[in-house]
Amino acid sequence: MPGTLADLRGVLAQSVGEVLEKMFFSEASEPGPKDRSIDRGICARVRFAGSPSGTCWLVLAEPCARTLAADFLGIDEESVGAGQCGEIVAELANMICGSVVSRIESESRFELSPPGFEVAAGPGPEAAEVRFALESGGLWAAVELDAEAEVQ
Amino acid sequence: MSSEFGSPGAPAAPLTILIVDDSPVMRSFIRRVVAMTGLEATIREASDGEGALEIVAAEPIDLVLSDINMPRMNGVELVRRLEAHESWKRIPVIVVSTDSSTVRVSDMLALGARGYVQKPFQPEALRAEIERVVG
Repeated sequence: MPGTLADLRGVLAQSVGEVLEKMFFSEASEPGPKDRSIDRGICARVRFAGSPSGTCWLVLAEPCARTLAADFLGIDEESVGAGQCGEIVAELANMICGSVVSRIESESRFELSPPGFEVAAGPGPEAAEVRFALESGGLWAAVELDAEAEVQ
Repeated sequence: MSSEFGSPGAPAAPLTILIVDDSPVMRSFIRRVVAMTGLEATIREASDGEGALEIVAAEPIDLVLSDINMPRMNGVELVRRLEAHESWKRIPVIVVSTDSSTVRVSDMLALGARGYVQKPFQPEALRAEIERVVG
């Protein structure tokens, strides 16, 4: 279990990097302060239940989602549909969440909810957040543990 | 849902592989990885355990690649149902899941799964596991 919010942020950053590298052969770098490409990005949210429980969020710039979907599916970017962009963000969120939970606690069972696109309830101040710049846009991810498991 | 592919150097006897995942993009990705193995294979797809059992009941399946977290019937119940059936328990199952907790892996192997690949995975890892299980 991460001891601090900084530890949790480190876990999240490692997980994002691992998923991008293994499944998408893509590298992420820290974005500059003016990267606004995710402001109108595609959002997904995954709940995890176990020890601990919590929520992961992911927002990906639409051009970035299109590029990743094309790479993942082995098709041209022009052939990627809007639905596939959403599906790739959902799957990415699912894998990042699974990776985070495995790093936090690998000895316990946990359940992941199906990724959802309803993100009205965003993360609170206790969430760990990371932002990355990919080749064609930005990525923002956050993870928040439920109250009884919150880190300091 | 089905597609077929193969390579000139692949073994003569084609396999029928069932991919079970509720994510269409993940099914497509796994289909690509299977193609990379060079196995001559016919691919069937299902989005959950119930759909998978309908396919298994309808035709011979040589290998199942299954997610765990799925609606209607998850991968745990799918493996349990396959193992409980006199004819279907011979079908090897490789679990492909985001859940990599040690207890989950041991649970699934104890239920009868022949292999386990954690998402995210490098394509080579899944390919190696497929080749190990189908020999």
